Amino acid sequence: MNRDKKILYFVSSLITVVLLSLQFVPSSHIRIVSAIVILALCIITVRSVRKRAIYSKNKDMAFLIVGVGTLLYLVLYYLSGLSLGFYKSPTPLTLNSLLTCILPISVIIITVEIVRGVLRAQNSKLVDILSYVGGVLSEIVIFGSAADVESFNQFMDFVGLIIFPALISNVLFHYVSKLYGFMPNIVYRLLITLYPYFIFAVPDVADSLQAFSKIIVPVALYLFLHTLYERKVRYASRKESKLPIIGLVLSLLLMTSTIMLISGQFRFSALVIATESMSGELEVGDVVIFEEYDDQIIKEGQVIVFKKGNIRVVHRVVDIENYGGERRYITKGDSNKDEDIGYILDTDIIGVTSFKIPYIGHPTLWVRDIFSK
Amino acid sequence: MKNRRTLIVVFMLVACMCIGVGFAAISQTLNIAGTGSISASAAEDLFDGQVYFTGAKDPVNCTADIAAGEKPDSATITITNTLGVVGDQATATFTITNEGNADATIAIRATNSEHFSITSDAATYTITADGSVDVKVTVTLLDTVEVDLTESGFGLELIATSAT
Repeated sequence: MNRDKKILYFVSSLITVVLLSLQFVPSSHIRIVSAIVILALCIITVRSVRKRAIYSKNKDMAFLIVGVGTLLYLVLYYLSGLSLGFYKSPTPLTLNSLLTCILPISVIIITVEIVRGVLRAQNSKLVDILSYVGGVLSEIVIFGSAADVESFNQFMDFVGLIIFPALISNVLFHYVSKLYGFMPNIVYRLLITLYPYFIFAVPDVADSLQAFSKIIVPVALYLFLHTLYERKVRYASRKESKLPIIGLVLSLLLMTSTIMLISGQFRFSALVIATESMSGELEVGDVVIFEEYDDQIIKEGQVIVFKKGNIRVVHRVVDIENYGGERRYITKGDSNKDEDIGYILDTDIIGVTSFKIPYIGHPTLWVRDIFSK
Repeated sequence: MKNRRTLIVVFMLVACMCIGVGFAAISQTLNIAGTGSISASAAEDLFDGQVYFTGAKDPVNCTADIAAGEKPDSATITITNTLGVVGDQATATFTITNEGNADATIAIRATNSEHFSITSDAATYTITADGSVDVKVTVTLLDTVEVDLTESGFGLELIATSAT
């Protein structure tokens, strides 16, 4: 094995092992340690490995596409806040955040992409795999650590907001670094990761929507660049079937509408029935689609979604009382013996059910059952 | 290359499906039940078995029972809320009789649990000789939970404060 290869295997394996073991360290220290380790490995790699990639002549265009695409995504993301609302950024720009977050994150991103660029130039399958894994782990390290996961909701945030986007984004980064160099990746990652530190307000977008967008954006950029590049080498006489494209568009539409329903931030939302209190009308595992309550008239007999404390309940209105102008709704589950204790006010109502989709909520209940054991 | 593109799209769709399953909101019905105990055992020691429970009545959002036996020194209050909100209450009244020939004064010591607090309508009760007193017990829901839960470990203890 030649000298360069030995260094490559050593560097890529070490990055993977170090980043993997740092997953079990609380996230307050993980970034600084990772930044120092990866910086050291980057210096070793750049100084020791001689072979460099020859990039496509379209690299400037690719840089522009990735840069503009990322900025466009951020603009749309912030525009969504006009209808969904904003909240104060949890990561304001302070000296502490500069030293413990912004600086280490920037070092991690820049050094990982430089190392990835050098490793990808070596045309070794094993090194490619290890650098992909290292890239995914570096992304996870920036946003959190498995050691911080203590509940199902935190687990879903970790998987949906960190793991899946890391897996998908690194396909884009891997592709771009091979053909167009590391600069587009650095620009994309710095923008996407550091914007909350420099802007005082963040759009109040549901976690499910955020996770969805973090997956869609890198895939869209990848497909766009990939198609653009392929067009240069495609034979003009070859006709391609439109079926895969139609299938892709339909699947995307279905996924988008599902995520929008689940986010609960649009006019219609979805809720999985997890209890038997409405048995006969709504069974466990059914998904009920409800329309957001906007002061519409509620009648006796309607099934509504309301909140009680920190839980959401789907029950039927069995009586409506008026006390000095205040409407009070008495509710009851169809299969409960007694009416619900107390009453519901207009301010408690979240929505009015429209229709149900039977059975499709079971996977959600199974997953929660597994994690509640 | 085309296979890789297909693989990426398929992975994206699977990831979106997993996100949909994992982030979906679920409806819940709070079902928190509890059984609290009211004991007079401390009083019994001092009053030589002459102070004991003789009845339970007027349960609201609960069932109330005194222990079996001739001179029961304990009682239970069992709460079931089909829909619980912090502050929801269950109440019951227990009758305590003093069959001795001297007045008995008892105080109340409460043990709350994580989800319930338990109180009585007075801090002390004086039961005249050959008389009885009603102790109204209130259990208040302190916290809501996401899954069905049954709790125990909360209760009132009657402690003798004087004897003649």
